[in-house]
Amino acid sequence: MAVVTSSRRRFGLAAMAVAAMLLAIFWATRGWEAGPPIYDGLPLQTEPYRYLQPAPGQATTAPPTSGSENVKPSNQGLPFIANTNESPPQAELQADPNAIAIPPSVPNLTITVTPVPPVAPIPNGKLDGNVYRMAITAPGGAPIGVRPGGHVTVFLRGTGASGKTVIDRFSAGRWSALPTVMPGAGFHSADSDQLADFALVLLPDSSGLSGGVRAAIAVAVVLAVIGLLLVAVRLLRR
Amino acid sequence: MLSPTLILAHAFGARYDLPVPLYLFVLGGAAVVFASFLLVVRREVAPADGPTTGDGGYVAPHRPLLGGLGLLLLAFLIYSGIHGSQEIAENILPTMFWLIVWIGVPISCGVLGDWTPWVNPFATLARLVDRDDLRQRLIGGPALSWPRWLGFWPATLIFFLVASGELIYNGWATRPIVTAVSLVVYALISALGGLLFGAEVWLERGEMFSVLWATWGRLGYWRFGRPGRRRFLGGVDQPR
Repeated sequence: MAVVTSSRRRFGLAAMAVAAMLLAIFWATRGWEAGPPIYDGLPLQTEPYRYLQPAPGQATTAPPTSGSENVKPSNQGLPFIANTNESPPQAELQADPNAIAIPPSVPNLTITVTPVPPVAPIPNGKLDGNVYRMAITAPGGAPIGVRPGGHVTVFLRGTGASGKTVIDRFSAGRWSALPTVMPGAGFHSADSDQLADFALVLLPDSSGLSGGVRAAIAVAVVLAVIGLLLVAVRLLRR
Repeated sequence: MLSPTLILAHAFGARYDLPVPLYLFVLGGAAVVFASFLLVVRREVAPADGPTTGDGGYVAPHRPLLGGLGLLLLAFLIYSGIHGSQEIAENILPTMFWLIVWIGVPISCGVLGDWTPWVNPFATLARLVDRDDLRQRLIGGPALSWPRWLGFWPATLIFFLVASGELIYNGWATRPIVTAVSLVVYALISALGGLLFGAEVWLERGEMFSVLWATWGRLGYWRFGRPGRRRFLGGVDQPR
């Protein structure tokens, strides 16, 4: 049994005091600029979803925003990123500059993310939010595409409706589903080898079970496993 | 990493401009990481200057009123998670669990000491079922002994699963109903642990929140009945 020497302890306490003082000075001088605090990735400052075409009875919100970024083709090696301006954004486009087929003569690019009405009905489910048109253009408006073998990454925020979702892309005159992941609570992401219109789609619930019923089933399964475990322990003790 | 098609960022969401220059942010982050390694550097220590005790008084005595309040809060949160809005920002459960319980409580224990044993609902459940007559009826004998090889692995494994829910699968795990069902499942597991092994052993070795908060509590100022000295880090030099 041993203890930390008192000089080490004094050093530790002094370090903590200095850290607390620096923190206090920071908050007193610049902390007010920090804006909404970032709570470890949970989007707790989520504003209500802004619909381009609100359904009857839906709460009135401000119209959805568009996002636009002007960048140099190299972008200093950093990814191209453009997002809408809600909190948090409802749509975002990310692209590696090397994945974009940029003509050598183009001095700069404009990346846009724009809410648009669906150009055709979505066949595989219900639209969850807005359709977003994602584009990269040269000065003058000429569209720039994705290099063969490359891809861009699309992020769409859901409205909070429960159910399985997928990102659909409208290209070649039809909607098709893309492999979709959820990189964060409420956010959905997919890679695409084309710039196009994208929509988050709520797939039909094939089980027909509500969330409460699913929860009850999960708990019942665990109870059954526990019951079997107790029986097994009892039998092994005989 | 062979095919990095997408970065699964932990904190994707709104982007905010930092109120400090980027170089300060990067230097500060690096300094914190560096300092965290200093904690495990071997140090010269002096013999204890007084009598020391072991860590035998780990499990705090049961206080029914506080334990009942903890259980009521847990029941309320589970109800909210299942029947409330499934929007994370509109449901109290994700905030209470993933921010207050998962992040805030450990930090408070690291400052104050482990104040949680009396209100931890999972500990209360383990104590409630820690009854010989119940064990006799359900498993036909006394409590099982805790295998030495098991060590703290149950708590470690559960911690790993919850941390994965926060850091990797947070798109799914932070949904209110998922968090609520997980809490129900864990409450059942904790009750099972208390029944099979007895509350004292289960809370000391297997119940993840008890182990986690007790570990953090070693850094805090007050001991709350545990061995050690009343000062910051006063529980660090006490053995398990």
